[in-house]
Amino acid sequence: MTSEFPLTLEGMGERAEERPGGTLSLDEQTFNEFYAKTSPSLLAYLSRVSGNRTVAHDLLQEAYYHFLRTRLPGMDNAGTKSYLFRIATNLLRDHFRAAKRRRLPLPEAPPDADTSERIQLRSDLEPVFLELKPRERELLWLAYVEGYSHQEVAEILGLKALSIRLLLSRCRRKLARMLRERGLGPED
Amino acid sequence: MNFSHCTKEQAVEQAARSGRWDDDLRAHAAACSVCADIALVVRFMQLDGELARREAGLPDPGRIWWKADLREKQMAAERAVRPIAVCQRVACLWGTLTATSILVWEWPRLSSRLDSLKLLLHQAASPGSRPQTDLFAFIGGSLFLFLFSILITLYASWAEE
Repeated sequence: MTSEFPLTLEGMGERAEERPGGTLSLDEQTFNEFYAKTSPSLLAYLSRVSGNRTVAHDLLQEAYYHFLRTRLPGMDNAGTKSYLFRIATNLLRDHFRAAKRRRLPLPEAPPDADTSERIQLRSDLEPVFLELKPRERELLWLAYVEGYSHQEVAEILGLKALSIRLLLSRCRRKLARMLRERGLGPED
Repeated sequence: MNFSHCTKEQAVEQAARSGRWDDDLRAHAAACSVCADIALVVRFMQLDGELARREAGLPDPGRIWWKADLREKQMAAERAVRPIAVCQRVACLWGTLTATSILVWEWPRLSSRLDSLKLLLHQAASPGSRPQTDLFAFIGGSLFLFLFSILITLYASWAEE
């Protein structure tokens, strides 16, 4: 990935610190540019992993708030985006923990009947994805939609890089089996 | 460990992602269960990813920035007044402790004064000694109000926290 917005960031989350002062890490214009480049994919990630668009919107705003509060010592562009996904993943984890305790909004049921082809397609795909565990959804999304390497996925999810290959293989097999069972696989 | 692996995983993933397959790879993906899973899952994820991005309906970035800025300023203001609140609390505690220590330390003398007060109150029953009784009532009331106001301040400070 190439650097497209004027941030001087380097490395990943361990080096980022909370800012002590009353100012944010980016000015409004720089933030708007960064937001325009990262928010569609971040919202898509949050929306599919949480399974709830309202929750996804809340978590998106919270993720950017945490991001803006963080001092970003010289990360590159890819590192910044990974860091944002890492914040979002932690927020998702908190959300699922809180949901277990307090019965917060669970994944929405997909719309029943709609003439729109897109919604029809979504109603075919989304239930399958939501049957996976949140961690499995995160893994598959980061690897196959965002195209992150195993190392990057490990950093975002706070796992060991060596375990990603195995976990991904299991999730992939599970999802492929579910897709075939629903007739969404290739016709043999 | 139940973990199947194929050397062509990467190539199959690339092809599924880009949609550019060569005949050999396509034949391999059809025959190999690991690569068949990769091809299917990558295609599904790509489709779902595209769908999710199109649904987006993003919040206004200006609003997010403004809210973050406001929250940050509020937190900075809270951080700035925290030492003042701590000082207030320490001063109240110090005042209460001092007043209590004086009361305990000076209790023998105060006790004798109270005895003389009792005597004065007896005298107050006679019509000529009214001003002295008022003076003692004023001192007692003031002491009570002082201790009461310290307690209220301490309570308010803790409640705020």
